[in-house]
Amino acid sequence: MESFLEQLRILYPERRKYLDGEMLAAYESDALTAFRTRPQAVVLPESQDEVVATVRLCNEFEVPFVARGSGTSLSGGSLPIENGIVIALNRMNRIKAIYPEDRIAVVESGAINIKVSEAASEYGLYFAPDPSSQKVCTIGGNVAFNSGGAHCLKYGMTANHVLGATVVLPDGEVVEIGMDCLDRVGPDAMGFYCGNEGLFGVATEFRLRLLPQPESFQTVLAAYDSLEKAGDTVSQIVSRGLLPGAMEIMDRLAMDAAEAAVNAGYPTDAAAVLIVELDGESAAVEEEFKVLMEVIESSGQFNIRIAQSAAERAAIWKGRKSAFSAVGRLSPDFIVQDGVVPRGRLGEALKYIEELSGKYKLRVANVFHAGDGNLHPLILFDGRVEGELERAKAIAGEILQLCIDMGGSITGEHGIGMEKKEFMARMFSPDDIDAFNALHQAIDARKVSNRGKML
Amino acid sequence: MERPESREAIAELVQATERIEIAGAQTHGKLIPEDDKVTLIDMTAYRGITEYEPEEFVISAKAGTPLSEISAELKLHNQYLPFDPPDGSPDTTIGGVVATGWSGPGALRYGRLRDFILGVELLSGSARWIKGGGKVVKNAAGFDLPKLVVGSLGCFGIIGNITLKVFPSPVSTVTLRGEFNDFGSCYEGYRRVVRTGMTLDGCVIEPNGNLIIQLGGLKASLGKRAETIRQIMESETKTIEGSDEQQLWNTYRNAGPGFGSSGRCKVPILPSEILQWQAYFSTKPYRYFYDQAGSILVIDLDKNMEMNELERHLDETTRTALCTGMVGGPGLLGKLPDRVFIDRIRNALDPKGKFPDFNKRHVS
Repeated sequence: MESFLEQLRILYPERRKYLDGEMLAAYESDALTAFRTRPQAVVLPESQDEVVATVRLCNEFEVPFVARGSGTSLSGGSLPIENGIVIALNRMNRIKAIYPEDRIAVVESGAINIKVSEAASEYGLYFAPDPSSQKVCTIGGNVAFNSGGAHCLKYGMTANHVLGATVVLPDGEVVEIGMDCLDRVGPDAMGFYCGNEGLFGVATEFRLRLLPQPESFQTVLAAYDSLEKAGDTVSQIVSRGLLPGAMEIMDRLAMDAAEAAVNAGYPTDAAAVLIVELDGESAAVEEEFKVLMEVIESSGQFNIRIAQSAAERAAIWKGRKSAFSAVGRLSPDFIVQDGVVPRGRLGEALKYIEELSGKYKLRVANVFHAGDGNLHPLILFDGRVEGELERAKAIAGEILQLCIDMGGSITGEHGIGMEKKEFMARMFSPDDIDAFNALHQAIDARKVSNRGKML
Repeated sequence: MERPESREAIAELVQATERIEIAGAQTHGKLIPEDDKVTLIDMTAYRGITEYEPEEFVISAKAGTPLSEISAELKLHNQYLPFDPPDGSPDTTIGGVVATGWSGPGALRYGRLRDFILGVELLSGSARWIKGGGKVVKNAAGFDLPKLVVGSLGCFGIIGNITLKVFPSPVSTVTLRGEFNDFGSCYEGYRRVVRTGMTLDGCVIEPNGNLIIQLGGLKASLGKRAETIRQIMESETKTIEGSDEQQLWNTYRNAGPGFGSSGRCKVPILPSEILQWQAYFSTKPYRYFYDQAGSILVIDLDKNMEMNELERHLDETTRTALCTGMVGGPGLLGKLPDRVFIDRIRNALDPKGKFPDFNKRHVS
């Protein structure tokens, strides 16, 4: 280790390496605050060459590393590994070029998600994947976890918007992945790379797909006296053949949190709110809106709010986007989950969660991507009270098992990370895991790249 | 030729055999094994829709299921496969569609095959069935095997069951054909249309100066949107609807304007490369067109073509082609830019090399 650290020191100037002291503490954890590990060192490369040299060194000495963007992972994906180092990509945050004719952005892996859209907006384009953390999260992180967001039913996840990458594999070999144009021939290696949770080395550059900014939006908020009614409305919208850009539901507790945090202004007497957003050409949206309103008006709602301006649209979304961080206002601790169930069984799943909340005597706030069945139960507890953490974990485990039993997934978008490793074996067979391990082995024989995550 | 009907039979075959090639209905070229030591496995008996939940937008089927059967079932519920796969033959299997990875003109609207594959079962060289993905539209667990098999041309193993995301069918469509005097003005018209950012269901550019645009959505707004396109095109424009419209897109999906029947190839390109390709074609007698708003070049293949010359040009421009309809089955022309990474994957899934290498899926 001594010799390794000596050689690592030589690669970086003073201001871009932390080998002791308080700076290391800032990297001990990510958004999954229940886990904490102090790294041996943190380095901040500014070039691909530095990344290559660092990865090669780690490989040679078999020192594990984790590549880190902004540390917003909710599954411990950027948690340091015991005796390992952190390769922080924040200095490699340039948006290198936008090609408006081809609708492509070339960015360094540390580029901030929202900044890509900001740069593209000059050309009437944007980068569609919009996780709630998009003001701070990096593209590298989005790719590593195949991040989602509120617009996934219609627009897909990060993987559907990445065309190519330059990657430093865990043994230091630099490879190109993908074809840099909208389609490709041969196997979809770039699609396979997305969601690898940092096990496949460090990407230094991405070629991203941009979309034209929708000409218009229609954003509607409807209030219901039950979660069930809100969920049924979603089914009806879908059965009318509409494909809204987003459909989100929040329950009373989640709304209370949003109110406390950002004054969201949601109806204070609603058991649930449904946010539906149509996007596209004005002429198309105008007609779709008529159909949407037909459905909503007869859906048993007691209050409808339609955004009349960009500011009102932002206001409707503000509460939803702040939901996770807002919950901190209601409770000192919480576990946020990310299960998926078939959309039609959302009502059933929510009822079960309510029963669990009663059984374990802990509150659960619910926020979810109603369009694609992706649930985010927020299990509230106080770690200082004996037994609450264990009960919270118990609820979490039962919810994940429910998702598996219903034929869904244990993670819609947050990834496995540290948090859900033990559930992999419940969702996948031993043969599946063997295949994953064989792939892992072929790409990282020494298991230095984010060792201990996912598998 | 073996024609197994069950998962167990398929696994036993792979276990017992040293070298394998996989056939579907061979609607896009007759497969010719490399030598007589290769066992050809015909997957057409492994068929059937295994699950379909219209409310969930998800359908699952065994690889040997005809695409036509899947499309018909979806149509009953006003749903469709948004990636618009070539459907010229009723026998084409969904496994073949996935392994070839060719998405048609309609993929412009919502995305290509890889954007709609949710789950897959794969029998790799280990002769064990492995499952990747799942049945729900959102899933971040494990490695993305479903995307990996798209376009894999049978080199990673045998695809068993496939789960796809589907969408509601567009309620109405209309097609406009802008007839320009020359390619140059057609190209300018195309650029004007694309710059509006309007949602297009199809956009084809023909070398003779025709620009063909399809719009889809609620009938009430189609007229207005079509008028917008018409004005932007600034050309002689014809409206095409009904069965004529269907036939037109059928041609682009399965062949091309004036194409023969020997085969064709798809070359993914960037729209900014169109004029360079025009320069290249100006000295060639090829038939071709640009699909999906200039991101795919489709070239008619005939036996008189200088494939070596085309391959050289592909290498020079660092582009790769997928050729179908040729004797030998679908194959690649040109190099894969991510060959190194793909080889690592292949070594993991098929260490004994039972399935063909991508080099062997090469057309010449």
